[in-house]
Amino acid sequence: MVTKEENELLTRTGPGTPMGELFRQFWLPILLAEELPTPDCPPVRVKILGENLVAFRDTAGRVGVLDAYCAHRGASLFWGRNEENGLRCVYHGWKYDVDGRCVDMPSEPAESGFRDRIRQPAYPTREGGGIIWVYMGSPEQVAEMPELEWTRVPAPHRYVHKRFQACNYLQNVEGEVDSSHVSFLHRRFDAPATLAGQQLLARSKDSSPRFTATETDYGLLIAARRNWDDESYYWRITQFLMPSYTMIPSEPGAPIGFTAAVPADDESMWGFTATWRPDRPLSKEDVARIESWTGIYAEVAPGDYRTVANRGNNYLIDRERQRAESFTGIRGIREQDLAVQEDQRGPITDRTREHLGTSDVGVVAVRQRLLRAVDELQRGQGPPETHNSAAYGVRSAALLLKRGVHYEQGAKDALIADPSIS
Amino acid sequence: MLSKQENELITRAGPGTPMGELMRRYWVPALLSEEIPAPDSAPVQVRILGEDLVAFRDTQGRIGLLDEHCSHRGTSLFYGRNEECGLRCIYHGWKYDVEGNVLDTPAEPAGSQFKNKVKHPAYPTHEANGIVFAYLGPPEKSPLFPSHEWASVASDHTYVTKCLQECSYLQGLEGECDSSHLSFLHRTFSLDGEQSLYQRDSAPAYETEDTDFGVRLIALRSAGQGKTYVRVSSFIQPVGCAVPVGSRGPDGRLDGYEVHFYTPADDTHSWRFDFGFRRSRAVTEKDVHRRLVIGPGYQRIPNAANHYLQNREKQRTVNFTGMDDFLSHDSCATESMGPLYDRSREHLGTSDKGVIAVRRYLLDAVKALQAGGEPAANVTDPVQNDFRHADCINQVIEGEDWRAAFPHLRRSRMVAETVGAR
Repeated sequence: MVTKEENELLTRTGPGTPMGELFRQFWLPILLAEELPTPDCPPVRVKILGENLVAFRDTAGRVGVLDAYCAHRGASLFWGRNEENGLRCVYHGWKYDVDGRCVDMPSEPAESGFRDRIRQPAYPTREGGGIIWVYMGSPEQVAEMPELEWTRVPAPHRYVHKRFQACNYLQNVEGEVDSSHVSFLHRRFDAPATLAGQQLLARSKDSSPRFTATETDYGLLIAARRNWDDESYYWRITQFLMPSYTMIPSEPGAPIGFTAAVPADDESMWGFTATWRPDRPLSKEDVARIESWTGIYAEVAPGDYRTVANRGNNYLIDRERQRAESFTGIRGIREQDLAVQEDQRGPITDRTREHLGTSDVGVVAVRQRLLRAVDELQRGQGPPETHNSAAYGVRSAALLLKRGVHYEQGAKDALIADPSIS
Repeated sequence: MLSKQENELITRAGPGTPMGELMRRYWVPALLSEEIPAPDSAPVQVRILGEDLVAFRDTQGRIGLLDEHCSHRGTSLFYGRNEECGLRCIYHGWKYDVEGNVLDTPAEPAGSQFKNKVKHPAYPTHEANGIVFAYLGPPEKSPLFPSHEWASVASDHTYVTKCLQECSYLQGLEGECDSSHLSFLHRTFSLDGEQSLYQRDSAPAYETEDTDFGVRLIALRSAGQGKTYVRVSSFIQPVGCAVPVGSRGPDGRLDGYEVHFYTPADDTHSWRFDFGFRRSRAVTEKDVHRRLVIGPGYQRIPNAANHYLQNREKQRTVNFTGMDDFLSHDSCATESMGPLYDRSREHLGTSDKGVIAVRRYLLDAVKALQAGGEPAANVTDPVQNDFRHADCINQVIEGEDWRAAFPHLRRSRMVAETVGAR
């Protein structure tokens, strides 16, 4: 439980809010690269941290992310002409380059110097891992790009995806670090053959794991320990990476999962998910399994990234299947997550009304970590993670360890990225 | 006409509002029995008095009406598993019984006492002839379920429907207490059946009288040759109105009546429950004609979005509105006033006597409760629980003395007589 004030601090990320300022210190996933496939392709609208933006890829292939509304009289640049290294407003023809410079102002006299005094708000971008990233913080101290392993492997080694989710980002992050719910929400009564890399979980009998959360250079390492047999524990070890990224534990040898919850506004978010194999390309079977939409990927409508199962159709819940096949009667793991996360007493849950138990240790730790970072930033101390990009080279793990072995020792090798990939 | 302050006072019924507090002291219709037809059937969402609730029927057939959102972290219990005498949240498996006791917190360590410290908000229910009534007030203040004739007749002699009204409860309720509109809104040009009775005299004489169940509403129309057409309705505190509609029995008298309830969903939506019964026979599908115009989700098929399927040709030649059914007439008239009508702008005439009396009754009751009094028209003594005198009349009499013609219509129950007879 947190206070009302803390809940506001945690959940509001618009311009000028303390948490919004914190998020703006980091490189954030904003679009899939496929949304801007070629030079001079149509621009796209994108809302992030409460700001309405437009993104385009210019003739030279550079990506620009601009305030969506023309500096002249506020027409949307989404209707604009993307041509000859700039985006031209359809209203009076003002044209901007990827840095927001006004490179043409045909509605003014040729000798007018007005053009040089105009600057359309623009944010720097990077491409990595099939994703376009944006930095919306102060230009003086631009963050380092996090060295996430999946952004550095060859493209055939990974799968990336995005979805719209109709709730505050924190409800999604809390779900990702909460190992406890997988024993319930994601339970299947039949053999979970579809869940690659989760065979141990399927056989686990212990539904009340013990949690430990440890401070790290990237955020938190959260370990959930379940009883396995007299000699072993079953461990699920998850990273929370600042400001809102997580890794999903899977067994050694299975593809690894990454998620990012990026606020669109306070009541909705973009969920980016990546799966990768460090050592080899994803197989046809790996991809087919992802695109069965039964796992951590929700099926989305082509073009707009809205989920096919959504609140409007009750996530296609099937009460007969809920009786016979699974705990929820909802198809996929991500779709099950959506059902519980998109309405926790609304899109922004009131955390003063909840009742947290011992199984919520990870959730509590993430909130405290974020609140501390906001507090430090307000006192002039930027988040250290933004200049420690190498710290992001980690992997999650799900594995059995002998009861006497400390998980940080026993899982040491499983938890680091391959340093030779760069 | 009401002042702006009185209009606010009488229409706002969310938690903590004066009218909300008053309505919470009565049994109000919450949902239909058919929505939760069998033990362990799927739970349903119920929004009443501005509260989001979930209703379910447990393995033993008992009905639970709980806060929709799990006490743990606010996930909607609508998606939950209804099994083994309780509703289990799909997120972490917390399980509640119909009284809101936490039966199981399987994510917590075995032996944890956490579940005994949490009580989930739950409301008592009373099922009567197809309607599930709920009491949302303080448990120690619960009144008896009032004993009206309609609640005690055999269930196959009864019918009930429910539909959503897209406006404040009071707009619908006022329509029920307004005999005048029958001569216009519901007019057909054919003059068959009883139409001629209320069209012959479109400016009736009205009387109202306060009773121990609410307000009796009497409309007296001249029927010619010294006869009077008497219609008597009963406003039943706080959201019901018994109206004299339905077929006639073998004796030529009304063979029962209907009770229409308008439970606020929130301040701009209400649930209309239309309950009817026949004294002499079981009901047939023909009696439940409303069912034909109510679609999935209890939304009316003719509604504001399709202009109530108004047919202008029909309006010229067949009836006053150009709409087929009474439900559409009523909804069009009351919803088109706006979702929350401003009664400081109206102009009331003598034909609005019933409406004025009911508003005053409600406002007096709110003010009395605010002043520390008890809610009007509640009973707590079983001996006094008899409302057979809340009958409806639809009949032509000789002369004008309706009191002499219907001596059983009293202002209050005959307690002395009842006690004496025991």
